[in-house]
Amino acid sequence: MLKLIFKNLWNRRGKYAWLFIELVTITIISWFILDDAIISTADANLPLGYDADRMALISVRSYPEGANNYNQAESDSAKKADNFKSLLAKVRSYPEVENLTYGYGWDHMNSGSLNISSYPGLVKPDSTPAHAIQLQFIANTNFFEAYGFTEIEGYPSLSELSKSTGGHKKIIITKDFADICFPGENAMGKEFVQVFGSDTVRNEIIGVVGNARYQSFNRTNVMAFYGREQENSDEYEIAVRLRQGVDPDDFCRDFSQWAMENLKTGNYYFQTAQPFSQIISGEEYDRGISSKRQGQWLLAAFFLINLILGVVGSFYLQTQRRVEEMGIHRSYGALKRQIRAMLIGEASVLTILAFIVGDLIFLQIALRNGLSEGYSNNGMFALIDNWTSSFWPHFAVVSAIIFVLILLCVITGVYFPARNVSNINPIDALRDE
Amino acid sequence: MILRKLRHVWKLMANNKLFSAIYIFGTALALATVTVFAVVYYNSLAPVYPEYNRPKTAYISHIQCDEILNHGMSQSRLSYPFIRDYLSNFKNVDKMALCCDIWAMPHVQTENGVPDLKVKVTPVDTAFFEIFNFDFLAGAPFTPQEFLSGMKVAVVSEQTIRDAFGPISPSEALGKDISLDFQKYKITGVVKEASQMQNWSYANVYYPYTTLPDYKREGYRPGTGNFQVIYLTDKLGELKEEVAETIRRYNTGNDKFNITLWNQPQSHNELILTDNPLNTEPFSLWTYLAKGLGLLAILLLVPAMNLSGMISGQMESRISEMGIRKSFGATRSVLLGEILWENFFLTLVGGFIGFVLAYLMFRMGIGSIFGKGDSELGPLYLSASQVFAPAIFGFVFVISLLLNILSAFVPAYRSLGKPIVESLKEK
Repeated sequence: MLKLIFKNLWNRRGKYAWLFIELVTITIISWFILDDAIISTADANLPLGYDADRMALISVRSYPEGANNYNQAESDSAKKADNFKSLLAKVRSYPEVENLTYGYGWDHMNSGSLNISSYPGLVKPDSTPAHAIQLQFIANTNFFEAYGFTEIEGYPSLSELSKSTGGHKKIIITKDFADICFPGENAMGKEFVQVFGSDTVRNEIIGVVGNARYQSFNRTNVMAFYGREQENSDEYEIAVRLRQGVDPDDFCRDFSQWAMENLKTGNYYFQTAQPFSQIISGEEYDRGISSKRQGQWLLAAFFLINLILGVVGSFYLQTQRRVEEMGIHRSYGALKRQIRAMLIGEASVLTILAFIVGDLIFLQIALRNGLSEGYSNNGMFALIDNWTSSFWPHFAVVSAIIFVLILLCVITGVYFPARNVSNINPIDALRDE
Repeated sequence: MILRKLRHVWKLMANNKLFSAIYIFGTALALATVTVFAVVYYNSLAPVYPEYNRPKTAYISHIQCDEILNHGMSQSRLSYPFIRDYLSNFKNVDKMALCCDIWAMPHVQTENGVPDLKVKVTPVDTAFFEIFNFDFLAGAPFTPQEFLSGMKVAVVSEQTIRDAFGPISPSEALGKDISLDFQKYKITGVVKEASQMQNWSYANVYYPYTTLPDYKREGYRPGTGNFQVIYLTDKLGELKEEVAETIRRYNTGNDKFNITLWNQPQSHNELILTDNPLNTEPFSLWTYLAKGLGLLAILLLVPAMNLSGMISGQMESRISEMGIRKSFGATRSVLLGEILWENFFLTLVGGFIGFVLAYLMFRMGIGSIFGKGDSELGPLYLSASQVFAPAIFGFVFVISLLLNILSAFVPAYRSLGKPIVESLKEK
């Protein structure tokens, strides 16, 4: 059968030439469009390192002075502290809440604000300096437990680390951060020392937690956390950890209805509740990441649908002119499925040959310009070591995905004309012969 | 004559239903995609409501302050004191406005029983309404006196009025108080809402930035804050030089901090096309036009190849027909013209369907893929007037012509080149 397929392709090379060129063109275009989209999708699906799918964020605000509901008597710092404590107790006692932590404004995982710093010895594989993402937390608020970080053997427990109040001087880092700076050693008690003019800054490592990614589109697990004492604020973000089996969307809807009436203490009031998944997707949208990714997949779909149309049109016309040929095959005992297999085989071999040519052409471009690195600021960090970060595995995986997509489109396009011509009656096919 | 041709085309379509369906659908898909891109670029770049002054508008949105001694750095919007002291009073500026970036979206407390709704607010000054030409359905912008005295007044969009107060008319909303996070603002004007695609002018509520308690405060480092600057100018080149000279003088006289504004102020086109306020490369509109034409060429290339292949296959089955017509005296150019005309009709049908398809895609929110708004504002919808602009309609028509010529001319010309005898020998 393979010999016959190659013979047929060679005999019809003039007619299939434009389809071959189209397949090569679509292979190259698909690379330009899909490389970034595939990497962005892969990065978004890497583990976050904390239990985002069990979490929701509750925003609490304070009535401004002068507002109708504002109560001057509740505005001193002691009253504010008590009122917030009372509000927290109500949230904690809500049936579906397992644990919670809270912070100010942007101090939660996957927030829109990014604080980065460089530390001595924190480098990428090529030894260029790398940055760490920093996040502060309020001490004694179950920060690490509520988010569901992973404990690392040989280091203090999550509950101990959540009590830290040392600010920048006492930092907790992620495992990847520790492995880069202190490979094979225990990082406890180690220090980063930096000198700025007459100032010397020391950051002591007081703990290591499991890897975590601050934002869903950053491909790095390098983070530093530091705790500080609580101060009164007019705005809080309460990150709640839900009990197993609770749907965050349902929780937010039900909780919002309850909280509108019941979650008010002093001048504090409930504003919104959002599932963490919504915060993550919102952040991706606000930075244009998800829109860009969707746009790329849509554009790829445009070209692939055009490919299907082209294959359908081309093979439809081809099979109409090969009716007698198929009649002869059938009269010699060929089965319908063998006719279909022959035509699908022709299309598949054409696709494989065109894909190899297109892939080799793109390889030259890739060797010169490199492949997609994902989100633009990934270049600042020491990236997670997986197939996306190394050239050849990256090239191989994306090639495979593009090949499968193109082949599926071609087989889809050729199937219906092949089925039509394979169903033809040999007598009708050979009547005019 | 035209009717005869249309009847002929109709018969051809009826005789080759699958071919015609694939041809029309392929064309519709290509032109729908082209239309989507055309609509997005048109609404992003052309002077549209309320940003009719786009050709003369320039922006400064980001600043970087480097601390020379300890290598610390801050990058953010600008501070009011820095703008007041260093970025005002340029001679190449006709008008200047400031707007403040409010990172968190406040909530409007509604009066119609629905939960509080998140709104986009932009604290602005009175010059903002002189640069952006809003259509006031009722009332007027707040006055300079109201602005200077920090009065809590606001201009609100029509949709937000309806969401907050229910089905009342814009004039009924004048003088009412709108509650934003429990702070009340008196409504002085109601405007027709801009599209989310208009990043600079779009908001639900506009109020004086003088109502913000700390608006005069400097950020952590000099120059950093929450403000952006909008200039109206005919002389952008000269303005850039003035700004660059001001910054150079600041940096020369300051041994602790270094300020960078990169290539700002940027024109509207530069900001949208580079999508990078930190851009330092010289901006060339022609480079981006060339990139746009390149993208257009790629979007049309594959469909043109498809259609070309199908027409080539179809021409093989019509060679004998062409041979007979040639033997009766039809010239190559007459036959070529007829084939182009037949395919042009199919292309027009496909183009019309593609245009409608593009409109439906925008109604379903595909604009969100291109918008750069806030996720909390919901999907980006475009109205019929934004999609069916004459410029877009004309552009799509020209592209239809181009697609027709690209796909039909070569295969038709080649197959018509065959001698009559050979053509008649074909089955």
